[in-house]
Amino acid sequence: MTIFDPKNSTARHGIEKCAILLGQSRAPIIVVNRVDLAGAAAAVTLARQAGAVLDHTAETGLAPAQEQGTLGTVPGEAHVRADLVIIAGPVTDRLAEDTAFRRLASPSSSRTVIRIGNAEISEELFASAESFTLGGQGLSEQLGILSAIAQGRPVNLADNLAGEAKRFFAEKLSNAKYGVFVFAPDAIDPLAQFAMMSLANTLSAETRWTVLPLGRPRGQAELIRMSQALSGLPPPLSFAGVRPVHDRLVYRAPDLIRRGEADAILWVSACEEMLPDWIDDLPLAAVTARPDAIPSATTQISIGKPGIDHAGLSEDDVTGFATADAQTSAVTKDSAAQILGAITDQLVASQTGAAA
Amino acid sequence: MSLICITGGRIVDPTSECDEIGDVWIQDGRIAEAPEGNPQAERIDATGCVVMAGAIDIHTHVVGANVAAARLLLPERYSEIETPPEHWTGAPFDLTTTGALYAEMGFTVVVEPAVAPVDAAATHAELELIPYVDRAALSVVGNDDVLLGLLRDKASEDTVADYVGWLLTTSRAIGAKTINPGGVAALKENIRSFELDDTIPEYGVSSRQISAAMRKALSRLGVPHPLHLHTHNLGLPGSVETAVATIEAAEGEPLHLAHLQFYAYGTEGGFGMSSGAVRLAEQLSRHKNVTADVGQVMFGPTCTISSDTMTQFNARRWASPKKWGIRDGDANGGGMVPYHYKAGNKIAALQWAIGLELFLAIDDPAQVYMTTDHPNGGPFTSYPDLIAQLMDRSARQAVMDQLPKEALEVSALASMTREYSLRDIAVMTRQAPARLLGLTDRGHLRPGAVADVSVYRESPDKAAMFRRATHVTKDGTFIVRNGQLAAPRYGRTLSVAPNYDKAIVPHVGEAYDRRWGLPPETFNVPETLMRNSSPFEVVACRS
Repeated sequence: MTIFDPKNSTARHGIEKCAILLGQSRAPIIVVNRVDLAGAAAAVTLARQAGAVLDHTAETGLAPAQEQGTLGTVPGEAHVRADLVIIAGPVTDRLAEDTAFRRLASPSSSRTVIRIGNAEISEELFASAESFTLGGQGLSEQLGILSAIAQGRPVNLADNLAGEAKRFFAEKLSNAKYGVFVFAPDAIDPLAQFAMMSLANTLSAETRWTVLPLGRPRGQAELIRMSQALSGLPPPLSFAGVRPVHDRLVYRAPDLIRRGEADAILWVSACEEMLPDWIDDLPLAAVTARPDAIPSATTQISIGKPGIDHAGLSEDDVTGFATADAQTSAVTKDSAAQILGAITDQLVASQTGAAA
Repeated sequence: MSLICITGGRIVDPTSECDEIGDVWIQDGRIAEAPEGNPQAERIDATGCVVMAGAIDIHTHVVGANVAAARLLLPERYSEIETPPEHWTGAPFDLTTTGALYAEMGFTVVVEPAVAPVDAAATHAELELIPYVDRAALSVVGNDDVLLGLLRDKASEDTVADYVGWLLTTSRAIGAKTINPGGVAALKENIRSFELDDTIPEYGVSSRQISAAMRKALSRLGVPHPLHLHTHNLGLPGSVETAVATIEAAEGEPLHLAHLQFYAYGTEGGFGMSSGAVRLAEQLSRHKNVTADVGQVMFGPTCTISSDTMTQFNARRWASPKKWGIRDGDANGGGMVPYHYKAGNKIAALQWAIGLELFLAIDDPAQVYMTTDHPNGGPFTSYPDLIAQLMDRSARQAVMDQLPKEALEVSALASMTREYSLRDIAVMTRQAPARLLGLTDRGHLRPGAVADVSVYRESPDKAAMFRRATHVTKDGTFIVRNGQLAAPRYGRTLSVAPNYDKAIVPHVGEAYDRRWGLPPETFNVPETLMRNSSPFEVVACRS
């Protein structure tokens, strides 16, 4: 076995403390955000060794796709082909900063961009995007109105949609050669996603319509993919038994903590992120790109960001696939994979020692 | 020096016309001549066993974006995860289980047949984590903007070959697969069906032109594996006509047809579908330049996974449960549609019968390869049952007895008496796949071969015999010993590195910049980012 030698003694000490925390815990949770493929694989290996629940806080938006499926596309294809883009729901900061979104949401001579569902957006960036107020109580209801318009069903629009706008939508929806619904999955509720998918299906009977979630946290796809490849299961999942078990209702980290079913957290993130309030409720060790990210953490280990502080395979905003990111910084930092691998080794050693 | 002798087994190695009791010697990871004298060696008593080279699966969807999407699509099937993996629920296996199940059946090489070049890095990162076996991948080419643009602009054959050579090298593939050539690109323009001479509106290029260009490119590059073609009209009644036309369109050039069973459908009979298997078998006997894997249907639930988005888009109506994942991609994208092959369903029953007909009607076992197109026709774990049905007429009769009569009335299976021999099995699963992939040191047991050896306890129950090998060596190391799986070890990923003119790179760069704003290097598969050290092995191209 290759012994990993971390870059500083603080990390060395932290690795040992993380292993102790996980080893002593009866029901640990490993929460992973925004790591590269190698980091995701290392997280799965560690969770398996620790008998932990593996979750990530960015799973929002998965459930509709799992329950209903999708008619999807990738950013590059949408950019080349879309003649009608409907931005559905709020434009979050992350969505507005998404490279693929910025390419796609800019109207052109060959592309109409429409906003629905309170899609507040910088007029400076997308000045010519057409905005419609469809009425209704929310995005899902507005999508229902569009569905009725598309199918020629009667819909009461007296107060919320003028006849002109109704004709506009009827014509645009059915005549689009390649229509794309763009949305931030963590900004709209599952019902709206269901409605959007249903509408895409309905419209696809005659023409081509797809949905494209953008502005997701970087690294979400890698974790989902690698945890599935290594366990056979989508996250969240538990390694507490003989075989890993998946249940998205049971093994969500915040719910486990709220129910008192967990007693320790290892928080892993190779990027900047918003921290949820529930992480303060339990003993917590943090492996993060920000050394002081979590004040309440009993142990903190600093790691680098893939594509900056070390090379890695990370999700590309434009292609939607993991691509090779070369290191850009002059100084190499330890990767999530290296630190998590070292914690795993330490845990194995302590478990083997305890068994002996 | 390590020396192993597998002694007293029935050695079945068609490459040396060997079917006799003897010893197989392994020295330092390779098959060796019997040494002189009586040297110290680990001896494995194979009395009563059959000894073959390690088996090779040339077409099994085990990794990649489509497999990942299929896992995500079927969370409810994981509720059955406590059952053994052999009890397939249709949700894809994890990587370690995949390698273990293959090893237990005596397989030592598996080929993932549909890697999107833009996803090659992530796919290889998964592929290298399949333990026990060597792996390889086919890159999907044929609906991508660069190739179609070259054909539209009437680029020279050399230029097309340079592009394909660059693509195979950067994506670390062992060959190229073309999937519904032109049809997938046409779907993006809302065209829902595509024939051999239809053209993609955007490019003015036909399926026939794409396939021909790919065949010639691979030939110029000297890539051993000929074009691996998933032609159009998959799964449709009448697709036998497409398959016949595709075979004839090859004009005598080497061609491999993927999952031929899904194209062996006529239109006769009471429910508008009949077997065209015998007709296709006759075609293959007349066209020795063509090989095919079967894509056998085995009964049970599955999730069909394909980069033929046109077929999958149109197949949504048959989804069971009623959901799907269809993703347009740069080039092919992917489609995931869950499905259940029920023995009581006359169409599924006929599909099962047609697959067996193909195996039994194609005279030369070197022309037909055992696949279920995992997971599309069924899981690879059903291979032992399939072998039993090929080797034992009564085994398939037992299945036929359970099937709807209408299905068997439009199939010739009931009249077929052929039973595969062990030699046939060895040709179909060892010798021929190795030759197809250009693996000169695999698929046989002659001195110098990689010591991938499978030992099976001979039994009248062929399914039991081939389900669990008693011993399997990979590179001369036991991965299964006395029926017990060893700790995981990791093999290599086999790929080609053909010579091509690097002047093509700026052209590709311009095209990639136009589409993504990214340089082509973005899609490289750096060895330094793989988890295992030196996971790649280059397979020689023909000079």
